[in-house]
Amino acid sequence: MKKIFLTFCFFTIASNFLAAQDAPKDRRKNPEIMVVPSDNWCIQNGFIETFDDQGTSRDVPNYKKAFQNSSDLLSVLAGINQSFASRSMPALNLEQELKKLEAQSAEDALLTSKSGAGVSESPMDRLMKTAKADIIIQLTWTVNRNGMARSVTFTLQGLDAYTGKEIASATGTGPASYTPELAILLEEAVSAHMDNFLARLQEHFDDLLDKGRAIEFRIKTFSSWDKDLETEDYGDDELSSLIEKWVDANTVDGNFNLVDATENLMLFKDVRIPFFDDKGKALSARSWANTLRKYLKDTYQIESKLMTKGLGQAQLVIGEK
Amino acid sequence: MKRILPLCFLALFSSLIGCGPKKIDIYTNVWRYSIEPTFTAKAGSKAFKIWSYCRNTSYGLELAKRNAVHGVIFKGIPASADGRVSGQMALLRSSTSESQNQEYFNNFFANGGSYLKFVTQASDEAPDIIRVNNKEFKIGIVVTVNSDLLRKQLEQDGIIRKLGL
Repeated sequence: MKKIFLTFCFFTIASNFLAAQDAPKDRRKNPEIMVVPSDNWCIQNGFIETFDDQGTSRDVPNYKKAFQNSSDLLSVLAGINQSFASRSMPALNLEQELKKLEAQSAEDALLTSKSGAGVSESPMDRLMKTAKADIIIQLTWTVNRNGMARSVTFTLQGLDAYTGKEIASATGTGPASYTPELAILLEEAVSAHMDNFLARLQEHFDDLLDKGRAIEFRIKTFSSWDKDLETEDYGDDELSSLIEKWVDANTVDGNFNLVDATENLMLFKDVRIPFFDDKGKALSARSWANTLRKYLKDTYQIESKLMTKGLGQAQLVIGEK
Repeated sequence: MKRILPLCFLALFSSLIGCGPKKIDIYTNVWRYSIEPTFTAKAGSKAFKIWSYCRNTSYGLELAKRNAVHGVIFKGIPASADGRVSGQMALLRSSTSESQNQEYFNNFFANGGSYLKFVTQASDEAPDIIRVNNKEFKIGIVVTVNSDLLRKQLEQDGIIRKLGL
């Protein structure tokens, strides 16, 4: 009896193990969405900070200040997030991502000070890198008053976090109402437009899955390097051509646009990288460019330094590390 | 035995008639209708007036319901001219999707099919009836389609994709 029981247990465990091995891995990973108040709303309400972008001062939104000072913001964002959650696509919580960013600030400081030639990143770029949202939904709203009644005019803009391109938008004014709750007014205004907005987002997701994610990629050379991109020391063609061939082989259907190519610079735009790598992990501009860095090192013994800006821009500086 | 034979003949004859296409199916198969936006329904639903064409006005409501669900799935709802009522894109936007899922939609829009779960007449008002010619009427009925539930059903049945990759 004991033998039969043990044999049964063995076969059960073995079959479960084999079934687990055979089960196809689900590569489907939904894009991350994050809803933020728009730059326009932040500026109008004074929630901005000045950021030194390599000598030029730029005004950027200060979301932390906005959360601390605007009682409406939380309820408005919660209302919009709810719309996404109801479509099985919960949005990232901006407030939580800001807290994560604060916790990582020490690490970021190390990143920018290591080489002295770091890429300048705005607080927004750092937030994007921390949150890793694929789509940023910018929300602008104004409250219209007509006597005791109020209505809300809103604009929703869906931006591809990698390219900054607008992929969906919706704008409208809700019906006048006597309700004191801004979130309810906004929900009434947005709900009629949400289906179309999400349908356009879906069209973008279909495009990503079909043609790959679009990134911008730049190659530069260190001035201390004794060669340039036109050198033919690494094969039967110029180094820039060898790199171009690699990019062609590692993009979806060879889709990319080489906008500029000189002896010290190559600028690729609309580079369509696969959405997932061989292991099913989502591929970012950094991880994609890093494979080129490894390729140059392993094949031609060329050292290079990889720098990224936000999620969708990568820069490889050739010549040293 | 002689009495049974006519009964059998009658039963066979009536079943043959029952198998033939009903008039409502003939009207529906051509999908002749137009959509007129009316007012903004509550979230998750769409309300509009559907104008259908048929020879027998008694089929008006049934035809309106079928056409309304068909419109939400395949044609979308236009925005009102004054901009007060926003439009909605069709749930199924690929031009080949209908033919690819022909069998599914044949069952879906069959008499008493699943489409009935998603549509109701918006009010008890009498329909607008316009005589187009000696043989045909144009019937306008305001209906409400639960577009959220309809979308979820189509997602569940694998006809349209869920939001995401």
